[in-house]
Amino acid sequence: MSAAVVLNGILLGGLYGMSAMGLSLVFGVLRLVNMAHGAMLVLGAYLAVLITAGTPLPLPVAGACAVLLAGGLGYVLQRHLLTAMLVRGANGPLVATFGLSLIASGLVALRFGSDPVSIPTALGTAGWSLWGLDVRAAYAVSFALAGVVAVALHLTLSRTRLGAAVRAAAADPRTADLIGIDVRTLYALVFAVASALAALAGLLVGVAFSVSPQSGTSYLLIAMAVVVLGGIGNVLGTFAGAILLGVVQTLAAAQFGGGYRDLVVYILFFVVLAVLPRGLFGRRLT
Amino acid sequence: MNRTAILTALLPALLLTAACGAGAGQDADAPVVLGASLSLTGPLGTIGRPQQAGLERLVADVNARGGVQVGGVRRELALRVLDNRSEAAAAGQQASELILKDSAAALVGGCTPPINTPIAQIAEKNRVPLVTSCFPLGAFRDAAPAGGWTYAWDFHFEETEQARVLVEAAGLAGAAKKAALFTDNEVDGVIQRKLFRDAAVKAGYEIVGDYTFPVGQSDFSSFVNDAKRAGAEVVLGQMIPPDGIALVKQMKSLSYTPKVIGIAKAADTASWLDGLGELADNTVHNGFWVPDRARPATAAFLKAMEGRFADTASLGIAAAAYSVGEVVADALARAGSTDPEKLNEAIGATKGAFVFAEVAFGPDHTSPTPVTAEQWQDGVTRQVFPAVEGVTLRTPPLGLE
Amino acid sequence: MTIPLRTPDGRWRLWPGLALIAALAAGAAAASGALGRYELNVLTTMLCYLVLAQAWNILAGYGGLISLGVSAFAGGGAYCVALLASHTGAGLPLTLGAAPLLGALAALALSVPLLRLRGDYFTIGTLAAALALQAWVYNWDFAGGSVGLSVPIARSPDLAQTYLLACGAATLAVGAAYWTAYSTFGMRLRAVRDNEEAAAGLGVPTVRYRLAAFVLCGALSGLAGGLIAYQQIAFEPGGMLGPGWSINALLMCVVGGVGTVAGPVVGTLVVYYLLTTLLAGYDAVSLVVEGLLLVLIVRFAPQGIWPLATRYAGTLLVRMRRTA
Repeated sequence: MSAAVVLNGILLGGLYGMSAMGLSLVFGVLRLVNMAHGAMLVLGAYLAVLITAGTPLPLPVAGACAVLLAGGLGYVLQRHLLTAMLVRGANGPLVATFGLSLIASGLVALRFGSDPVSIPTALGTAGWSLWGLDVRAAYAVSFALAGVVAVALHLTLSRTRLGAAVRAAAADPRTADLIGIDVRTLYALVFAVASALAALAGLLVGVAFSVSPQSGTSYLLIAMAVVVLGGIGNVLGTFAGAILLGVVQTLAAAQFGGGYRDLVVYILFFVVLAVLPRGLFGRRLT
Repeated sequence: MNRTAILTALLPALLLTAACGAGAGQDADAPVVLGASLSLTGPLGTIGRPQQAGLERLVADVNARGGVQVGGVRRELALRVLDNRSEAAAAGQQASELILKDSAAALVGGCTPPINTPIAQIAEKNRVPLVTSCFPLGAFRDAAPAGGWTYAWDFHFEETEQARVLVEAAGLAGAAKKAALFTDNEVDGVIQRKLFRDAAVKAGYEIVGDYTFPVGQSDFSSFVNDAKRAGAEVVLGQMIPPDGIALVKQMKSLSYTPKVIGIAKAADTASWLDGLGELADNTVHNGFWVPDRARPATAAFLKAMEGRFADTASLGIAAAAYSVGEVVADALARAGSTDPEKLNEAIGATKGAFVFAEVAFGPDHTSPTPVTAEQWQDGVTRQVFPAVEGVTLRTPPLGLE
Repeated sequence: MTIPLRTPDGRWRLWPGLALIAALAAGAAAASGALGRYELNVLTTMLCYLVLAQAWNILAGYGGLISLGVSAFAGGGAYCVALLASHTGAGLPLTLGAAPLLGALAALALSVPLLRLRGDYFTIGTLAAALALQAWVYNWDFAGGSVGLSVPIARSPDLAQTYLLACGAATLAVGAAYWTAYSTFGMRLRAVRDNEEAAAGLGVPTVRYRLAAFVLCGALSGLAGGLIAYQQIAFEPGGMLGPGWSINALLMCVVGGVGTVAGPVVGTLVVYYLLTTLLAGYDAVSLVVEGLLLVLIVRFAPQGIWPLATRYAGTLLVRMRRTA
């Protein structure tokens, strides 16, 4: 019985990891607590629904379009709005991204009302048997995708010139600027990637569960907990932290009842932060 | 710095002067204001909008007849609606505003216990009557201040009935007497969990799974696997639509096929159908309104609302809100005054048939309305309990097969 | 004879400003008879928000610690008042005295893990603490669980009394912020904020200064929460212990001007009145407008409205002097 619970928690952790990856990246590189991350996640799912309804494109293509659109939106927002604020301290971007999340949820509510939207695919209702245990296909796919993304991001950051530039910009943006790195473009690029990943996570959430204009907040909070557990800016750590969170959540729900699920998660979140502020796996990026 | 220091100290004066606007006085023949803090946006937006539609219709109907005879004067009704964005604190604040700023003669309630409780308490505090139609009676009684409600009145279903009806409907399937419960840990869920339990045990069920979870929980996989292993053939639940949709999807992907799925709240509206598609087929939920089509007022209401809502649940919510307005208008005429004490007394003496249901308040300020069980069959919802001719409970849930 | 407004070393003395704040508060309190019931209620709400905003401002503006845990202290104060009033029958003075005490104690307890954290880590830590408290109360039946609590109506103050209490609390909060802005305490606190090592090198006990700011913020927030409980009568953990209070306090300060005494006052006016009250009738559109306004304000008035206004007023004054 507990093997099934743990496996389910691990796979669910993949979905959480996908939701948290972009937040971790932006937090680690830009030192920006992106309050609009959850809204971007929700927006991704609604964009996909909108594109599927308005065009003859099949869902996977529509989903890819939504992810690209979100990335483009992220690029523009960072390039033309947020970077200028970052220079002046943490307050401005915090409020600005909160404002952006209000705009996004307001627009979604105007277009779709308050009803939840679920993305209809066979993936959302398919199930597989792994080692004799029943699991949801949507979880397994999310887990695999999140793993691939985490490894790809990690390799990009640690092995490529672009990654070196990002790490330099994260460590010391002024010096990076002096040695000829285009920090503004780099920031925008990172934010674009983070937005695209948020949108992708939104798609997966829409497939596995459902999204409503209000779901952004709860995914933002989960993502924050994951980022803190895994170490800010540490993409592999984020993936590991997400798995840990998924397992703890499902075990707590199975052991004490679902009502205690959030309590255990936030206590873990708080205790890790208090005892190991760099996260369980350290802050690797800088 | 010195200039700032001085200007700084002057600022509280600004705060005082800026916020002062004139309160509205009431003329003897000015419209009588009904104040409503509704959840037009946020998670409860699907309930707030039909409520607004029902109230607007009622005000339009009354004013088309020339208003209400209040004492010697015919006065029109005016509706003032504020959007609380489904936030309880905002609902209480807006209730104050409606009473104190708009001089509402009566408040008409929003929906759900968390939203209605602060509204009702503010009505009590300011001694202005509140009539609501969307506050399950058990939760309404529980929320009462010591000594009971004085100004708050509620007509709605009894949760005990809601649970009993759903359990009896599930019994029609001839499933094994093993049930699993899925309830969230907000007010409705906490109350419903105990009542489902009682009703199911009374009907001879064994509860093989009893799962609770916070609202907004999306992952039910461990619970579903557990219920499947325990062989639960009847699933009873109470949750909000996004959670319900996530639950049924997970049942499907983990190939769990109970004979009956009965879900309170989440499965009521068309969003259930939109979210689940064919998976929604043969799921069971409660119905709250059996329109008496023979009554001219009800027929007229149905005609006016034709095509406005995608489901009968929303239509029922609109009808209930309409009848809240009817009750207040009726009481205004009998009280012959907008004096809150007299109006409150008249509301308490309400006795009659309205569009939504017959209303007569008991000593605990409640008036129970009927509740049924309905099933989604081929994209429409049909009453299955109490039995209606030509409709039988279908089983198992089609999409899960 | 001149009144000695400055100290011998040229700094402004505190008492004239504090006296002015007290006089204004007395004026506001005296006006309670002339105000209508609606104005009393709205002003009470705004004053409670002002207390929360100033408490946040003391911690963030002068202490450099951005908190998203306001609900832990404000909600703690509210729960303290409601539990005391309904279980012990304690009256208004006792319950309202206990609320800031509880806030201060909570801050003291949370300071052990939280004050070790710096920057964004502190911010997220406060959020985690607040969310953990909320999740706990949801499961805590004695505190009403998900249903929440209500204060007995019979023992709660009427509108005018609540308003007077809110005036008192706001006076305390504005006074505390003013004191923090212009006293030696505040000067040292800002030194700790701007360069901790340098401040420590000059002999400032940095931990104690941060702790003092945190406890002061906790106490004021607790007091505001207690008043809010008496004003709202009924509340539940979703709203009372949710992140909304933090977000509002942050918005009010940032919009008005963090690290100024007047900024939060302006911010409270703008955010509460303009955004919440004026837009309440417009549902989804109001979310969009509110978001747009916030983005525009932080984009074009990054220091807040108040510093912008004083700067323009200053330039204007200089120009007028030049032309005269």
